[in-house]
Amino acid sequence: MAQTDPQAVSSREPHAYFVAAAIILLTGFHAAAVWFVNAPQSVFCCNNGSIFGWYESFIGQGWSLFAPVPPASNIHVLVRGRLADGSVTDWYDVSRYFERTSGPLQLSPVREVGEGLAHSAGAPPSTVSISIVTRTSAMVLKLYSPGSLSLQIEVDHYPILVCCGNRRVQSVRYPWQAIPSVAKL
Amino acid sequence: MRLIEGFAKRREGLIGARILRVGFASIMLWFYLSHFRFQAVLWGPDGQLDYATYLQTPQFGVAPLYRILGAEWFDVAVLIGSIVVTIAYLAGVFPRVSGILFVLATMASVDRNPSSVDAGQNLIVLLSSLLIFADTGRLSLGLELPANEYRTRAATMLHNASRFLVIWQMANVYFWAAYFKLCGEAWRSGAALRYVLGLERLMPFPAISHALIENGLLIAVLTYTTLAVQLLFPFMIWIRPLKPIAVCAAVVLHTGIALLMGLWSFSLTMIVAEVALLTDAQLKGLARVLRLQPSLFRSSSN
Repeated sequence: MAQTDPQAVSSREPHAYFVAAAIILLTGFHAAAVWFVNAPQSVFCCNNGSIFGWYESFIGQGWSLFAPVPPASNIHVLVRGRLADGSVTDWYDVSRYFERTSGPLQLSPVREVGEGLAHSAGAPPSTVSISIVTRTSAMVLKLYSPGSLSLQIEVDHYPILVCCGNRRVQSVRYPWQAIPSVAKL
Repeated sequence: MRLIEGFAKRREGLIGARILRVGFASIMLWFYLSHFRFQAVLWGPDGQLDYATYLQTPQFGVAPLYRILGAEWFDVAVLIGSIVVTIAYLAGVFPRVSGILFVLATMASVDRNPSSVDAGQNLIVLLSSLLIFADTGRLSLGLELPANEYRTRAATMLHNASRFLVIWQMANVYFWAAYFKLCGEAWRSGAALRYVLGLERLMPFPAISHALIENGLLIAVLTYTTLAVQLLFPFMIWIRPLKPIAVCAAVVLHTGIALLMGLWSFSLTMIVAEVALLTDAQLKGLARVLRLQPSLFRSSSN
């Protein structure tokens, strides 16, 4: 179609300027919200009652990737099981399982399950993060030792940069617990 | 007032909007299909995040589909529905309707198991929400542009507002990524990449990662280069002649992240979003340089 005469458009749309003002206002609101959702907490966002607080659930985001402090340690989640006869299995390295099965270039889809474990093991302990660590460990234990009735988890931190060959390891060991019902890995 | 007139008359970034639609839909389709085997583990009621604990997590987005029902058959149905919707969006079938459904489906998978998706899917949700108001092309996998058919001013302004907000969102990604890095001593001292490259789970080529970690000078250069790219990108991306430089630098940065850290899905998402920020004329030029089929970028309007 040939170029449309702008005047003709204008006469067909008498409310064009009102529409323009509304679009510009909404655009400005969204742009400001994106800024303040990302910015450090302020009166604008995101406390209850702040201007952009209610809008945050629509545009939630966080770009502090590996910042301000990059992770300082490699985290390994280990699991062992107790069998019906009371004997205890070896420790299995759950984190290493996902690293190994990810394959060359880490393109395997199982990688996402391992990322879920890694993020949760590195996050502050909460109902959600402990649940994800426990359930993912149970999935791997089922592969290695399907007869286990209960499991114990250990989380080891290996500092990435260590002085003078000192591989200091920090460990947290969870108490024994029943194996939850989990999907097959 | 002249700026507003221009804003209402001519749609900017038509090819970019098509690249975002086709690129994001392809990435999500690949994600759903490649993870289909792990459906029960990632999104099922007995999965990595069980249904009862999932309900305690903060809701992401406006339509948490998986929260409706904690049944295996329902979760499979949501996944199959997500695949169908994504194919429709990829092909440009009723792009505004399938675009809304695509956003809801992507939100649902992020909401169901946030710890096992990456920041790329968060970006797909953010930008695809804006694309609902843009002209992303219809019934086409290609990137060809329509003739300059009559559009109302409102539709043109909505498209351009969407285009502006897409660029603004990407500028914010880079600005805040740089800002938070500069808040940390490890990034200011130029040593941060030693920690990042030392993460065993993000190490597809251990020999290369270890060699880099040992080389203090190279680590410092790469750390400061990363900071420079992230700091300059949000400003350069608004200036037409500087856009290609900013986009090239960002694409190189994310190719490096994909190769050195194995973060393929995230890097690919970022690269799609970066390339889409180029102007239509710059993208046509890029197509000529890459000798892409000219019909893909045929245009009778601009």
